[in-house]
Amino acid sequence: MYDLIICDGRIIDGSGLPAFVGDVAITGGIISQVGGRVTGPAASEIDARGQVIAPGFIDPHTHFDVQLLWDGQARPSLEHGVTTVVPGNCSLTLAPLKAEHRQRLVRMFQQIEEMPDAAFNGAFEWTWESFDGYLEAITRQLSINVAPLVGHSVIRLWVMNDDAQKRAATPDEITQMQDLLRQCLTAGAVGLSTSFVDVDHNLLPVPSRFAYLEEIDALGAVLGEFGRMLQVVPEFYNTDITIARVDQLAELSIKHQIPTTFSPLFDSSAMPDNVTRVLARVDEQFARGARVWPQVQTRPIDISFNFDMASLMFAATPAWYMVMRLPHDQKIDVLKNPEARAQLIEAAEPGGDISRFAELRVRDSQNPDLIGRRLGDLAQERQTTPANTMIDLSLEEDLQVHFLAANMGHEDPTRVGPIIARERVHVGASDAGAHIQSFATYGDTGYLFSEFVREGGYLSLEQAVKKLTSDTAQIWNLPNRGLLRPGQAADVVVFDPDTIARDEEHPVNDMPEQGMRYVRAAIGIDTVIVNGEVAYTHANGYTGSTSGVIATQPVQ
Amino acid sequence: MTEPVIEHAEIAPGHDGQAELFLAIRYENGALGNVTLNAKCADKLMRDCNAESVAALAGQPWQKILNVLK
Repeated sequence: MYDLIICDGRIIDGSGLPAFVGDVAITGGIISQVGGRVTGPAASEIDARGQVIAPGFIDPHTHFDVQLLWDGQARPSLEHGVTTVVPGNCSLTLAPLKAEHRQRLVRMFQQIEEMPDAAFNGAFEWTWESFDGYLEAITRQLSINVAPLVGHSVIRLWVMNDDAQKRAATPDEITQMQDLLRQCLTAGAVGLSTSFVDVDHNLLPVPSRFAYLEEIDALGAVLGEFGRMLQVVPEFYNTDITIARVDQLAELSIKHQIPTTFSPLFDSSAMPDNVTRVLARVDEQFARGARVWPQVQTRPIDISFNFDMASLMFAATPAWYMVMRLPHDQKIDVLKNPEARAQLIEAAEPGGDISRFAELRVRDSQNPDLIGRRLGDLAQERQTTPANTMIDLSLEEDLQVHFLAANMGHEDPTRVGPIIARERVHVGASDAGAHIQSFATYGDTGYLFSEFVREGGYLSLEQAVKKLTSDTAQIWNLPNRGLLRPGQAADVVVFDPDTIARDEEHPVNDMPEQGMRYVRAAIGIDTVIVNGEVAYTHANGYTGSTSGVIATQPVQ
Repeated sequence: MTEPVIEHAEIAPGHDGQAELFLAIRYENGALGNVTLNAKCADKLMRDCNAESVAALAGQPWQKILNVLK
């Protein structure tokens, strides 16, 4: 008897091969049959007529490390069809971590990934220091699969304490780091993450940045023992240095026979030839036998801001930034002063040109009717200008209205589409779980289908599914995942190919202590199955299933 | 020209998509390089340069950048 049969759907098996109509049967958390008409009794059935049956999506770049401690569903990623997440990117993880280093690491997370204090203090009990202790803590209520990286910065902290942010490691310390990394990989880590860019709350480079190449090489040797991933944040702001890092990763990849990946890689007007040049070097290194996977996100860059903070968004408009730096009450006084206000308006809308602010949108307000509206439209209704409207709205709500500047970079689908479609581009870099009070890092998978499959036609449906499933599973060496084949783990998503997308960004207060974050709901996702258990349905929401596992181990 | 100077500044996406300050720097030998500052460093730089907007950073010496990174 089967546990579950998904009937009469359009099967896209993740391999890139053409879709075909048939059933998918699941028994004991494993896919038991794919295609044809499955006969025989089943505990339950799902009617998938008109819908796609695909392997669950894999998100290779998240920061769910802390959220998984109180939310084993990794909301809302799961409802977007994501059945496996990779947390621990960019050199930061919650283990291995000595008790005396906890608050130091929390401040790094807060600085780099913009996560609130309440997310770390009070929402869970620190019960671990070791990596396997952390895995034990998150797997108690796990709905989603997790393939966790271990952070180079925390490995350095463990071994070198304060010296981790002062100097290069000694040979003995490097040996200790190797031993510690070996323990983490044995416990289930999918690889090592490191950063050449990030700074902590004191603007001091994070520990991983003090490593000489010999240290990274030694850790690469340990990764080689396990065939595991090295993830890197390169100096993305400089094309030449990024290319140098590609070369460095290629040498490590070939020497230790390991996969490597780096992100971010953006298309932006600031560096219009950046992606082209970097990918050309990636192709050269692949031709040599290296594995250096560039991760490219699907979504454009959106940035949110309000008048209560001196956001860089104001730095491009003369006069505004100086006002935004003022203390809260002084700022309100200036905004209410007719003469000062007139100067701000002239700076923002010189000669009556309202184009600068007209496309901004209200992202969050006490008035739900305003959320999502263009300032240009609101200004017309109020018979004023967008800049005046922005000031008025802010004053009406004590400067707490949030605004959205959409499409600040990586926004041209005619440039991004062909990049994403390239064989050697790894779709990722969602950053899910981070920057939660600035923008939503969820729904990049839906956006891939709506923008680059349906709208732009840069990828076929089969190619897009392959990017999110078997490609990712192979790149990260996740056994038995990413394909709909008998014997594979039964991670499955059922979705409507004509509607799958991401919904509008909106704020919710579902973080610890009613903390706010931005999220996006999924559109077109019908059912999400993790290791054979239904974890989410569009009709009934999250089921509370606890079938998620550490995805680095082969399924039994 | 006796030392590198900021030739151009604009707001650009940074690591993970947050707003950062992108600076193009012209070196003494004519080469053009670039660096990105996060919001905290960018704010310090603008204060140090008494700049009302990012456009006013053009022409500032790169020593100013080094100072905010110390």
